[in-house]
Amino acid sequence: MAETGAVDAALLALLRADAALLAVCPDGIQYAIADPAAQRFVLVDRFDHSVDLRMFGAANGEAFVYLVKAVLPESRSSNAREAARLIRARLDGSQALAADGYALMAPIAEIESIRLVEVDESNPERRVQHWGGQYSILVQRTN
Amino acid sequence: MAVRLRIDGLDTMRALLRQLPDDLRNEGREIVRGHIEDAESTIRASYAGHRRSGNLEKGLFTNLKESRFGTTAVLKNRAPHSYLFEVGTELDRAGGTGRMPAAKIFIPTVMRARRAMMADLVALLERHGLRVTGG
Repeated sequence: MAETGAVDAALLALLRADAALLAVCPDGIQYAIADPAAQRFVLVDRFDHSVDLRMFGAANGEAFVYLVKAVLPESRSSNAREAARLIRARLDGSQALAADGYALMAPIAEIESIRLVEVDESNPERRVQHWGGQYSILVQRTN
Repeated sequence: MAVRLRIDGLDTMRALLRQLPDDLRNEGREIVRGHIEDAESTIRASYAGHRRSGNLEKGLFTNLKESRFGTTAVLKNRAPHSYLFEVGTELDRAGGTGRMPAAKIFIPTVMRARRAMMADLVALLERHGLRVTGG
């Protein structure tokens, strides 16, 4: 029986297979909240999930929206920009997602970009770059 | 010999067709307004559970525009930290909170509201005898 965690896991696996992205974000691809020791990482979180009961009878289409962003603690944005570029190159238009119990119905699509600079309130010199996007994944249950 | 096709009731149909856009606009306006109000109150209630300064709730507002052609509604949060709150923080902010995960309040709520609104708008068109196809 398909379960939604398979799509989360497949997305994480897809990103973890990107050596160039891991070179920029060596603390890895993290889900929801990063490990306390992680400093330079990509954060993935599921923003939305919906089931389309009208699609193909009982074989439901399911739509997921994920936040995927590089988080880098530095003032310069060049590394975050490169990480965001790699995330986009890896995900946008990709048909490589392999989730147990699901078939990909459409290429992964970036639906919105994310870029913000977080400034430390106690030390304005200290900044964290957040750069990435929201990605839509449309799948259909196969079992 | 002249051939003439007579269709009774055409004037009535014309009148109904002229009236249709007004009916759709009026009913559609209530659907849009209802969903935006629901979304705003849901987000406001969720923000209340994270209340520190109250600025997140204060920054939330709806811009509703109505015209004879239709209704648009934009729900926004103008609090400077609203986006950061939504997508998560890295630094220790406002004393001891540490790294915070994405709050996932505004965006998922709006996505659900948009889906529900679209379903209601499709149902409205179908009630008026129109057929809706596509995504």
